[in-house]
Amino acid sequence: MAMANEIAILFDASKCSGCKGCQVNCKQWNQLPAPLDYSKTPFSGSLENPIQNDGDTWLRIRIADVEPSPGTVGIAMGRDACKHCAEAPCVSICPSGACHKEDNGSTVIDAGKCIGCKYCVAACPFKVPHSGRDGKSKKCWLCQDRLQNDRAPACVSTCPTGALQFGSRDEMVTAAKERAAAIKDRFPSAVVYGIDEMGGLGVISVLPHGAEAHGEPKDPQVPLLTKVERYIPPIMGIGALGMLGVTLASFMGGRGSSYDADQYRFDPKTGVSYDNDKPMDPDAPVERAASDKKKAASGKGEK
Amino acid sequence: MATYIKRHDFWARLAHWAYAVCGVSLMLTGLCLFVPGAGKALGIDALRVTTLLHRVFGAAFVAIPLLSYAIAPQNLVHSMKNLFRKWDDDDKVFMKYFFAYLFNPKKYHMPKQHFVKSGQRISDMVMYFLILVIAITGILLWVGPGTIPLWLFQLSKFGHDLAFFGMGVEFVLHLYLGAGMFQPYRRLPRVMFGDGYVLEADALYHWGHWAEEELTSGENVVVK
Repeated sequence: MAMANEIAILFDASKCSGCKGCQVNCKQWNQLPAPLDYSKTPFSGSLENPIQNDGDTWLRIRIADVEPSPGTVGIAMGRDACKHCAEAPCVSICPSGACHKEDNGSTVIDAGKCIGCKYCVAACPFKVPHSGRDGKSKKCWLCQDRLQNDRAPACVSTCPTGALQFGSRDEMVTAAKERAAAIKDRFPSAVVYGIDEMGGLGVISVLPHGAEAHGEPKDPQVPLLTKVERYIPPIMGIGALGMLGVTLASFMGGRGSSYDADQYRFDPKTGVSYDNDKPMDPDAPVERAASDKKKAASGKGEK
Repeated sequence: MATYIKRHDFWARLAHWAYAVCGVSLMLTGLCLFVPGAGKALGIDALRVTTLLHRVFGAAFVAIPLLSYAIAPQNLVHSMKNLFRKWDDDDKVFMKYFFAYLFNPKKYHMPKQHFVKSGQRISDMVMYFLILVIAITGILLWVGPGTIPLWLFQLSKFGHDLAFFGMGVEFVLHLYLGAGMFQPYRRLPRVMFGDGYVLEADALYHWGHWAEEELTSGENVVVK
């Protein structure tokens, strides 16, 4: 669950004009290059650009056409970036500890510790982390360097319409609820997104057209295979103990049975195998006769 | 002086040695990625080394069988022939009593077997399948999302973990029997890890049909 001392971004989609100033400032502050080659960025079919995040683009604005409510424009803006989940699966799955939670609740990838396994990419319910050109995972880190100097994240600082705000999570949740209530008459489908999802998100969103219209999963979940994978190591541990017990029982049961092999020989002339100088009967019962067992127990057959 | 039968040639034993070293190294280095806590406990520098080694041994894991069968294709033909040999009555009886025999070998006279015991044929099939799964998913994990779809990456990770689980079980069983911890098998490690020869008596006890064929032909039989 989200802690009281946590900070959050408030994204109010009803105020977003889609100027993409946040995208630009994110790139500029974090020194993320953009492709400059002609037609390098594929056309998305809408005003979205680029069509998805990658190792060099940690934030982009989604733009989708929706059925307009009376007196509104039929466009739903979405903010595609790390949501800084309280129960972040990328953190729990990371084998190196590179993906971690800061005290302020942000989810950060420490590039110095990332080994490029990409497990975080597979585990994220929002498909946020991407592999960078150096093979390491990249994503929004909520501008920790700016926060340490009492400045808001780069995206928030450049927003001209006030669609992005920054502060304590409690304040952002309160502001989001008030805003959602205020626009409910114009946008009956308006929701506040991020209060409880994934244990509470570090990005609280006011989404006038409902979560899915703005590109957010209605009920974000850790991918099923990632969920199941968590149980494999403990099951394997229990299995290992079980195997140890089974092999130990077998080992104890097998002690003193080495007499058997030493009594076997074959006569190539007759083509007959002998066990204890007696011709072996291929149709002999698999379970030994009582006399054989007694002999085995007394160790007569030992060389 | 005792009679021995040659069971495995130099190339088969070399490939087995290489695969054993490779497999154990992959299991140990993979454990740090498989259990997140183990990787964190190891520290980032050691984890980087184990991750690199995991990829090196992973490449070897794929290359060794391809290389060994390219050098000695007769071993591939031999393995496949034995793997898909028709099951006879002795094979069926062997499997019927195998688990009882595993816990009380003094009580059971196991029936004669061919070059590969019926139980090992099942185990080999499972192992070949797991090796295939772990190799393919390992390559896909290495390639990573971006080049392959995310769902395929997720499926590969799950498959890799599951196959690792299966390989762990196979490894323990193989180690227990093949390395001779189980008393009736105690003289068998030399056939793969040693000179490739097996005592006449051991051969008759473990692979009766095969031993009789070899002893009759005398081609691979030596007295030393």
